[in-house]
Amino acid sequence: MSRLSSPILLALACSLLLVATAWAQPTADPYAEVLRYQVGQPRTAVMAIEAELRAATPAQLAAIEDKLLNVLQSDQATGDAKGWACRQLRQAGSEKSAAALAELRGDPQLETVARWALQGIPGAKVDQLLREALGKGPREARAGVLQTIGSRRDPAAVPVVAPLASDPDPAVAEAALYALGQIGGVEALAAVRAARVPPPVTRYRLHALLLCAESLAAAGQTAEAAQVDREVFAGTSDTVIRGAALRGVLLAEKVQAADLATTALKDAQPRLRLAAAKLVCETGCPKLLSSVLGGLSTLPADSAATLLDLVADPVALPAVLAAVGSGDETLRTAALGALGRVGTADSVPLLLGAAAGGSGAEQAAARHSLQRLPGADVDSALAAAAERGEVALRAQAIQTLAARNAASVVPLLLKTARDDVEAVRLESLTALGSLADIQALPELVNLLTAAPADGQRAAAEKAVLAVCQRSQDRDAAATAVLAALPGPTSEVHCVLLRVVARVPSDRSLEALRVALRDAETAVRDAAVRGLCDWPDARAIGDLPDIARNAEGLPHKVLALRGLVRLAALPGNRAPAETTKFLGEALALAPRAEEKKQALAALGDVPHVAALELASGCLADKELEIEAAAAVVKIAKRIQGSHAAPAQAAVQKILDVCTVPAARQLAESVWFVVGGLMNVAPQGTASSPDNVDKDGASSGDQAAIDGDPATYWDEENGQSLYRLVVALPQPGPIAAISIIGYEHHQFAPKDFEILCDGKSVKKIEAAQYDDNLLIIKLDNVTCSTVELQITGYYGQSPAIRELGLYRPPQ
Amino acid sequence: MPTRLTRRRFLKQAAAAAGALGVAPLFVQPSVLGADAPSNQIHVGSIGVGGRGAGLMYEAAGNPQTKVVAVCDVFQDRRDKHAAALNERYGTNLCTPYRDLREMLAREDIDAVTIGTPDHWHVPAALLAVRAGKDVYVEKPLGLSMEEDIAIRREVQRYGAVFQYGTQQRSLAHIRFGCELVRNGRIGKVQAVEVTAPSYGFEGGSLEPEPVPEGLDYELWLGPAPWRPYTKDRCTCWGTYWVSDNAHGFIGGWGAHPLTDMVWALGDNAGAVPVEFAGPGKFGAGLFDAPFDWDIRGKFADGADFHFTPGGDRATIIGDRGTVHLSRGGLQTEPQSLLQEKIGASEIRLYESNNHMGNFLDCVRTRRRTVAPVEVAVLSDSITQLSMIAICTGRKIRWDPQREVILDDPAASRLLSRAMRSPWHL
Repeated sequence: MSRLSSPILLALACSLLLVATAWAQPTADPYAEVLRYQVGQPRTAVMAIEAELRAATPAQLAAIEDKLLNVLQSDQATGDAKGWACRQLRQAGSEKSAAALAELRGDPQLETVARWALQGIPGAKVDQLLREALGKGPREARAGVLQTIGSRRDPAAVPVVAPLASDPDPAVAEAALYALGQIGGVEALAAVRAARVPPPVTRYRLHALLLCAESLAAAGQTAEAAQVDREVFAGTSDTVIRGAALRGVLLAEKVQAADLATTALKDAQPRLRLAAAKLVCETGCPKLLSSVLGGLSTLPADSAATLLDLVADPVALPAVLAAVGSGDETLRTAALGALGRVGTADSVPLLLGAAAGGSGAEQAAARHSLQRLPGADVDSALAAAAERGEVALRAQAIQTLAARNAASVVPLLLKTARDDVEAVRLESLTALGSLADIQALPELVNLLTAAPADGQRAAAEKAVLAVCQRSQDRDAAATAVLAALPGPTSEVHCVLLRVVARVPSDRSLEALRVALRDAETAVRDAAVRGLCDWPDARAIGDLPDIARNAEGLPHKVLALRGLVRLAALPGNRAPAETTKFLGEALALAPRAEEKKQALAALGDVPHVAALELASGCLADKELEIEAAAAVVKIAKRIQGSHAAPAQAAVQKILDVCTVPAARQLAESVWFVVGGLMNVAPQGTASSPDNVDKDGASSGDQAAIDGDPATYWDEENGQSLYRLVVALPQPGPIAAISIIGYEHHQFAPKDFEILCDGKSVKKIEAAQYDDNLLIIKLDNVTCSTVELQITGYYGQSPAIRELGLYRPPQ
Repeated sequence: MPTRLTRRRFLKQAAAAAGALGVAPLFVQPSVLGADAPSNQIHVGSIGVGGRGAGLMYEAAGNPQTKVVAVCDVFQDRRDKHAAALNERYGTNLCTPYRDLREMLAREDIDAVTIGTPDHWHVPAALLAVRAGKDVYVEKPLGLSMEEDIAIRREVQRYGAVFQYGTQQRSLAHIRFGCELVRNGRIGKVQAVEVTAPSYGFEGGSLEPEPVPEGLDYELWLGPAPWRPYTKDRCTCWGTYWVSDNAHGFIGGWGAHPLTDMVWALGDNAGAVPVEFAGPGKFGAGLFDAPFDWDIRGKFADGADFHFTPGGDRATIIGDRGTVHLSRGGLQTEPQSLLQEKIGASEIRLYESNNHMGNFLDCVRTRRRTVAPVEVAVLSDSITQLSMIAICTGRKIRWDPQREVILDDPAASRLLSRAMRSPWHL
C-alpha cells in the first residue's frame, strides 16, 4: 500500500502544510476577536480559547463560561461565532448558560448546536427550561426539544410530553413517543397507551410501548414488562413489532414463554417464524431451548431448519440427533451442521459415515462438523476409525485428522502409511505432510525411498518436502534427507536431489555440486535444475559455469534465468559484484528474452557500472525499452552521487532510442511529483465510453478518490476506454501520474491525453516504474483532462489513482 | 477486470469452497423473503448511491440471489442513473428510484438495505431501516457519538435484524488467520497494540453559500446534521468526510478498518477496547474541519499499551513471544514462522467469511450473525469516539467499556451524546 500511495501521500502532506500555515500567532483578547469569527478565516482567537478551555481547571471553567455566554448573547457576534460558542459550551456550560441556549431554538442555524450543549448540561433548571420550551417558540422546533428531553430521560417531563404524543403533526407525535420511550417507567407507559397517534406513527407507538416495557424489566418489574410485551404481541399483525415483543417476553419469562415461542414458530408469517427461531437460540435459556426443540418435528420446515442452523447449546443434542434421521434433506443437513457445535466424540461415527458416504450439502456439513468438533477425545475417536474399518471411513478419518491439525496421531499415520490399502497409504502420506515434524522425518524419508514409482512416491515426496520446509532447523532437515542419498535407484536419487534443492543448507548445496559430476544423465539434470532453482544467493557462483558448459539450450536458459533471479535477491554482495554477474548473464545469453531479464534486474542495482552496462545496450533495437528502463531507474537512484554520468546516460536515451516508450521514460525521469499539489481528488470523474464498470471496481470516481485500495475499471477487451476528469476550475497541469492496478499487468498502455478536448500527448507502450507512471506535460492549462485508452496491459486498463499536478509555485 | 480471478468466478469458487468446508448456509429458505418474494430473491434497497454507496449497491446487485429493487439518494441524477443502469441489467423496471428513504423503507417487499450515505446519516438511516424490519449493511464509520452507536446496537438486538458493518477486512482470510494467531496465544501475552490508518485530510473547501443545485434535496441531505448553507464541497463524496458536522474524518472513516481488526484479534469483547485515551489532534481550518492528525495513547485493562496514529492501514499486535501485523495488504509476523502455524480443532477458530457482502446476504437468508455484527461495530467505533473526546478535551479519558461510561469526568461525558436537528431523533 505505501509503495502505491507514496506520491499521493506526498502531495497530501503538501496540502496539510497549507493547513498548518493557516494557524497564525496568538492574539491579545481572543474573546473580543472571536466575535468577528467566520469559518474559513484565521482561527487564531478560537484556537487560543479552545486551548484555554482544554487547560482549564473546573474552577476556571466558570469564568470561561461567562465569556462564552457573552459571545452567545452579543449583538456583534457573527453566526459562526455563536455556533462556535455553543460547541464550546458543550463542555464549559452550566445551568447559567441554559436559558441563553434554550432561546436559540427558533434559530435554524443554531438550534441544533445549542441543543448539543443543552443535552449534556446537568441540572434540574435545564430540564425545567426544556419542558417550558415545549409550549413556546416555533412548532417545528418542538420535535428537537422533545428529542433532547428524551435523551436526558427527564421523568418530570411525562405530563407535558404526553399530550404531544397525540399531536396531529406526525413529527411531533413521533418525537413525543421517542421521549416517552426513553424516559420509560409506569407513567410514560400509561401516556403511550393513552396516545391517539396519527396513522403514520402507529408502528412507532408500539415501538414506544416496547421501550417502556424494557424500562420496566430493567427496573426489576419483569412480570409487568412481559405483560406489556404480550399485549403488544397479541394486539398487532405487524410481524416486525411482534418479533420484538416476543423477544421481550422471552427475556422476561424464559422457559415459561415456551408456548408463545412455539406459537410464533408456527405462525403464518415466515418473518415471525424465523425471528422466533433466532430468539429461542439466542435468549440463552437452555430450558427454553430444550422445551421448544422437544416439538421440533411438529414445526414448519423452515422454523425447524433455522433452529438447527443456529443452535449451539449442548442441550440440543438429542433433538439434533433425531433430526439427522429426518426424511427432509434440509433438516438432515442442518442437523449434521449442528452436530459440529453440540456434538461429542460419540458423534464421530455418525458424522464419518455422512462425510464419507453422503453427497452434496449433507456431506459438506458433516465434514465441516468433523473438523470443528472440539475435544481431544474426538481425535482419539478419529484415530481409532483411521486404524480399522471400511476403507472410505478410514480415509475420511485420516483426512479429518489432518484438517484438525491433530499432530498427536503422527505415529499412527507412519504406520498407516504402510497399510495394505493404497487409498489409506496415500491419505496417510498427505496427512503426514501436514502434521509431521522433523522427528518423524527419517521415517518419512524411508517411506519415500521405499515407495513404488507411482502416485505414492509423489505423495511421499510432497510430504517430505512439506516437513522440511516447515522445519525451523533447515540443516537438520536437509541432513535427514541427505542421509538417504543416493537411494536405491537413480530415480530415487533424482527425487532426493529435487527435495534437498528446496531445503537450502550448505550440505544440500554440496550434494548438488557433487551430483553435477554423476555418471547418470538424469542425475546430472536433476542437479542442474536444483542449482538453477536454488532459493538463495549461495548458488550464484555456480550458475555462470553451468551456463557456459551447458549440455544443451534448456540448461543454458535455466542457468541464466537462475543467475538473474539470484542476482536480484537482496544480499551482502557489493553492487559492483552484482553488476559483474548480470554482465555475465548478458554476455552468455543466447536470446533477447534472457537479456531483457538481465536488464530488468540491472535496473535495481544503484551503481555507475550497472548504469554503463545498461547504457551500452541502448543501441540494440531489440533491447531499447528494457535498457532505457534500466538506465532511468539507476540514474534516479545515483544522481545524487553521480550526477554527470546519470544525466549523460538519460540523454543518451534521447539521442539513441527511437521507440516512443523509451523516450517517454527519459522525458519524465527528472520530474518529481512529491512536492506538487494533486488536484485530481477535487474533480469529478466520468467515463463516457458506454462500457460498463467491471468486477469489484468502485466506479469512475475511484480513479481520483485518493485511495489506492479502490480503482476504476471497465469490462475487458474493449477497443476504446475513456476516463474524463472535470476540475472545478481551469488551471495549469504540469504532469499526470497513473498508478495501475498491478504493475504491467492491468494498466493503461497506449493512450492519448486530451486537455479540454485537445490532444496534448500520445503515449505508446507506457513503461511503469514500480507500478507508477509519470508523464510530464508542457504549458497546459485546462479544466478537463481525458485519457483515451486504446491499449492496455492485461485485459483492461484499470487505474487505482490518476494524479493531476499543478506546477510548482 | 484486473483480478485474475473474476468476481463472478470468485463467487462461484468461494461458494464451492465454502460448500466443501461446510461454511455456506446449509439451506436457503424462500420463506424468509416474504410470501411475495419471487424466485427466492433477496430484495435489497440501497440508501446513498454516490461513491462508496454505489459500490455497495453493485456488490449487492452482483449476487446471483439478490435483486436491488430500490435505490435512494437525495441527488436525483444519482438515483435515476443507477436505477436506470440496474433496470437495463435486469431487463425490467424492477428498480425504483427514491428521494426519501422513509418512502423506500415503507415497502414491505424489501428485505435488506445497504447504507452508503454521508457519515452523519449512517445510524439514523440504519435505525429507520431496522425499525421497518429490514436487515442492514452499514458503511463505516458507525456513528457520530456513542449515544448513536448504542442506539443502533439496541435496536438491532431488539428487532433481531441482521447487521453487517462495512469493515470488509473481516472477510479477508489473512486477517482472520492473524487474529487466530493472537487469540490462540501464538504471540504470547499481548504487551502493546499499535494502530495506524490513513488520514488523508484536505484543507479548505468552499464556504461561499451557493444556490442548491436542481435535483438535490438539501434539507434531506442535511437530515440530522446542524443546518448550514449549501456549498458544493460540503456535499461531495470526498468532501463530506472532512466536515465535522457530518463526519469525524478518517480517524473513524478509515480507522474503523484496523480498529475492527484489532478488536477481533483481542477477543471481540469489552476487553478489546482500551480503558484510557489521551493525546492531541489537529483539525482543518476551513469547511474541512475534521481532524487530519492525531496521536492517541492509551492502556487496555490488562495493562497493555495502545497507540493510534495516522499511517498505513495496519494493526500491530505485539506479544511477549511474537508480533502480528494485520493489514489489508497482507499479514506479517515476527517470527515469520508464525505464518506456517496451523490452528487445531480444539483451538479458537474465528468466523469464516470470504466475501463481506456475500456473508451479509447469506445471513439475511439464514438469520446467522454476520462476521462484523453490530456489537463489534460499537466496540470498534467506541475507540474512535473516545479518541475524539480525548483530543477535544485535551485530557486523559478513562473509559469503562463494560458499562460504557467515562469515569470521573462529567464534562467529557457530555461529548458522548450529540443532539440531532429537528425533527430527527435516535
